[in-house]
Amino acid sequence: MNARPARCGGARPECFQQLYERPPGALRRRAATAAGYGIHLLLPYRPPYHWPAMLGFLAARAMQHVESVVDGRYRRSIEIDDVAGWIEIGHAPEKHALAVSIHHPNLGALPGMIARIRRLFDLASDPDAIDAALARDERLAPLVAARPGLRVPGAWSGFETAIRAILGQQITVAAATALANKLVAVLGRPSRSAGPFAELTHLFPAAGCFTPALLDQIGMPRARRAALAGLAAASLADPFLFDRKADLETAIAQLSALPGLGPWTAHYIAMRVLRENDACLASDIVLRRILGAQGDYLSTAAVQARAEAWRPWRAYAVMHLWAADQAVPSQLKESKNAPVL
Amino acid sequence: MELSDPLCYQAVLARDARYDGVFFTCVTSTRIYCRPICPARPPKITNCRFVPSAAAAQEAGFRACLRCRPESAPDLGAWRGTSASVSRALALIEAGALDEGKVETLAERLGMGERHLRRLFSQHLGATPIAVAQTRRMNLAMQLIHQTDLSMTDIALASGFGSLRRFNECFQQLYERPPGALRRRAARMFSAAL
Repeated sequence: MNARPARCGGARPECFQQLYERPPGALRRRAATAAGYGIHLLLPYRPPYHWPAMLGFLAARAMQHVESVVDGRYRRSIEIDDVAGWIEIGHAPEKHALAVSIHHPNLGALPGMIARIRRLFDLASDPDAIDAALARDERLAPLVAARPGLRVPGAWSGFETAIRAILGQQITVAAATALANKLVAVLGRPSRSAGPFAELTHLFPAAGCFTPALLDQIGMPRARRAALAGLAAASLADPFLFDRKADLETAIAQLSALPGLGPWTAHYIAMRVLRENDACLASDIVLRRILGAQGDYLSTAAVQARAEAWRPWRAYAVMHLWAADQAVPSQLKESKNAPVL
Repeated sequence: MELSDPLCYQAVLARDARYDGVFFTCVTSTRIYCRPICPARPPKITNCRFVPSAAAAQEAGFRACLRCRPESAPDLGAWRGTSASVSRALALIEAGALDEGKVETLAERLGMGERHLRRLFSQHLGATPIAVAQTRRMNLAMQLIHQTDLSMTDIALASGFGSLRRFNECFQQLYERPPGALRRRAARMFSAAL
């Protein structure tokens, strides 16, 4: 690999520094590392982009040894064609872009990796259209004003996020993340090579790792273990399982046919993995609580009816309500009428 | 969003960022296409053709402006909203479905005929699926030329071109110069601006 030639007229060192944001010597050193390591790119978005909400969402769910949030940047280990790699994503607000670093030796996989990062960070969305539509609802208007350009976090890996959706059934985000940490500890694989980020030592388990014997080592109800094994088997059998379907209804019907996947999980997967903008988690306990008056939980049917006004952006409405709930101190959320799950 | 020529031209005059990525301006006198926010002096309206995608511009033989760099416009590809099928196809193309595969296979995966898919693309994007995939590769290559110090061989591979020869051919055809010249030009422009 040749270092980029310096064609800066008088070749002043400061000129080189400004152009490449590193001294010339560093460039030569970098050229000596393996090809494809550390590609740094800007991925533009349409402003505004509410980066703190995106980062907060990912930080609250980050799995030890697989994901981390450090200095305002999200990092994770990845695996493409059985080869480990790492990515790091930060915000470059003055450029209206995310600053992405990709560390993976397979250069040919770059377009696919960029596509996955764009989906994970919802880079194709048009916040003007969404915010204007949701602001017409009086419950959502102040939330839209508080978090303009809020995105729906997507998925790096459809399989991984679908597994996490099952782990998150009926428990808090913190409890679900603790379960995911356990899953990584038992089923996860150490990456064979050391990456650029010391804390990221493991890869999320591949579908083939979800064997009954290993799943038994994780304290979970039998039905939950069966759901995990079922999803792993389905994803091995159908490589297009997490492709977007003809419409939301088709997607929900297909996902709901898998063992242990109810409407909440199916819509969650549709929202994050399939990027269905109109996915709606009507039975979500947080939505039922915050849409209810004075500590009374709204019924799922009532949430469903309420959400009609948010079409076709129900997934964004869900994110706004979740983000608003996160911002409220937990002692104020106490409710005497919490339903028994 | 309904776009008309007068509306687009107003956006160009105002360098309106809200239209960035929504349409591109093909300038018939220079054979260059630009983003609505291009800092260059606006062309006469009679020399403007407005298209809904970068692919439509490149397929018609226009090359990306080296000032506003259409490859760094926000990519709203899957967001046209008008057709779920086009959105799904774009997501698959973005993931590399046409880097080696055929349009026929892509159409099959979407549960439709190839002709129908072509018709949808022409209607919503003004370009063929192949042109969309090709433009995506060229634009990624341009980003890598400007933003990284990868060699041209590595860029050809990393942007989804099957070979360096194919990569050089595509650039030569559209830009009338080899890809390496674009990097040198970018470096020169930058140093001139210092």
